[in-house]
This record gives sequence, C-alpha cells and structure tokens, in this order.
Amino acid sequence: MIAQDAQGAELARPWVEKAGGTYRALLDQYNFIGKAYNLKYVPVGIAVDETGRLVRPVGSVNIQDAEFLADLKEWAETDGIAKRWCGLPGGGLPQPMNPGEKQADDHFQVAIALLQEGKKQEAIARLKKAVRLDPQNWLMRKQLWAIDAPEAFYAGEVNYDWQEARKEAEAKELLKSE
Amino acid sequence: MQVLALELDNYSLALQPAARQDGEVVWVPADAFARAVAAECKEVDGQWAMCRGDLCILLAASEVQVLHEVRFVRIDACAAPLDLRWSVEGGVLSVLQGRQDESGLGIGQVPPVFELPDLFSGALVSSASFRGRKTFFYMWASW
Repeated sequence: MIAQDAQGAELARPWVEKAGGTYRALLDQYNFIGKAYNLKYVPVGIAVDETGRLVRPVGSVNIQDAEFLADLKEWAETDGIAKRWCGLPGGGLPQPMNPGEKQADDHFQVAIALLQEGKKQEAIARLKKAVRLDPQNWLMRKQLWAIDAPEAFYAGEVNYDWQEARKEAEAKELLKSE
Repeated sequence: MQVLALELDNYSLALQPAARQDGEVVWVPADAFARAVAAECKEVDGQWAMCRGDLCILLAASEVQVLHEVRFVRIDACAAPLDLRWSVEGGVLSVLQGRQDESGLGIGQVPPVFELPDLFSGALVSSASFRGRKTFFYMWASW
C-alpha cells in the first residue's frame, strides 16, 4: 500500500487503520512514483515476482473487482499469470518529464511545502498553476480539489457528482485562463 | 548442436532443458521458454502455436521438433510477435523483452526501484527489499 498523499501521513493513516491492514503501508507524499513511472492517476497496481520482475503490466487496478482478485490469488498461489494480465497494455513508461510537466512538478513541490507551513491559499494557487501546465495529471488535479474542497472528499462518501461539476467548471475557466 | 545459456532481460535464467543452436538456427524448449516470456505453447486447431493472451502465433511443422521427448521451437518463428529481441554470443542466448520502447512497463520487465518512508514509522523502505517474495504494490490515495 502506497499512499499518494501530498497532505502527508496524518491524513492517510486513518484509512489504513480503519481498514485494519496488516500489509506494509508506505507514503509517497512528493509524487516520487508518479514521476519515476510517469503515472498520473490512482489506483495503480505493480505486481512483481520473487526476482522483481513484473507479472502484470504496470497500470490501473480495481481491487474490489472479483476477477482481478481471483487472478491475484491464482498468481500468489500457483505462479500462473492470468491471461487477462497478458493482454493488458504496458503502462508507466519511465521517461524524462517534458518542460510543462517539469514546471508543474515544481509548483506541486512548492505547494506541499506551503501546506506544511499552513499556507493553504498559497498552496492552492500553486496547485492551480500546476494543473494548468499538466491538466491530465489527476494526481495533482484531484489533490487540488481535495485541498480546496475537503468537504467533498473527507465527509463520508466521496462525492463524484461534485467532481464531475468541478471538472466541467475547470474546462471552462481554470484550464483556459492564465 | 551447441547448448546455450539463457539471459532474459540481462538476468541469467536456467531453462530445463537448455536452448540449443544448430548452425544458424536457435531452438528453445517450447514450454519452459514460453513460461519465461509469459507465453504458452499449445495446440490450436491441430497446429502448434505460441500464444500470449489472445495472440497466437501458429508454428509451421518445420519450426517445431521433438528432441528426447521435449518439444523445441525455433526462436525466430515466434520472437518478433512476442516483442522479443534476441542474439547469440559466446554460447549465451540473450533475449530482451520489448515494450519498454513504446508502450510502458510490461510483463517480465524490472520496474524502477523506489524508496519511500513507512506511513507510520517514517523509516525508509526500498521496493528492492521485497525481493525473494511475490509482492503487490498498490498505489492509493485518501482523496
């Protein structure tokens, strides 16, 4: 379990505690994996064998999906790689960031530092700059939303209607204006 | 006929039985090699084929032979469609799995190592420290 949470360990811990997980829980506060693997979303699964080699292309997973869980269990118990995994496209192509992605990441890193100093509004301004530069990076974009409007993320169920509305509003304003 | 050692993505891998070279032609043990590259050698409509997922490369009779009760296939008959690049030098068959050039991290590749703090103790943990065990890393978020 690797938490992709710019807001830090205190925010992520309660989820792991509530789930009662016995697995190792790590924190990727600074989007290290996102950058190393060129991934811009969660959830993502990385399954490797005893020698560290992938048995499934790096990519999106739904750990509530019965088929996925059956495939994971089969691999764990037998070494057999599911046919469904063989057909998946490889993801997470490691490559250098382009200039826009680099600038976006610079803003993102500053935003994390500002959050740690309690300067929330300045952090949000930085995150908005990051999102304008790299709008398809959902790791940054949804964290902007979660910091800007925590009530839509941290009060009971995640509000997906709110997210759709926010996405539409951004298409009209944030991503077009400077 | 010369016996060849195998290196897959620069890792030494013992195939049982070993691959072998006959003149210019390289033969690999069908089932063991297929497993190593996340493929499967099976009969499709009465013809042998090397398959990965829904992709099956049919093999001509001349591309398959049985030696000492083990089925071998010519590597050049199936390498390209399975995204494999291969070469032989000094008794070593070197096979590189493709995909990394165009379409990201696929089966058989070693993904970049990362080092991150434990969510509770803050102690740094390397992804390489899980070697020796099957490991599933799951990236999630609170948001």
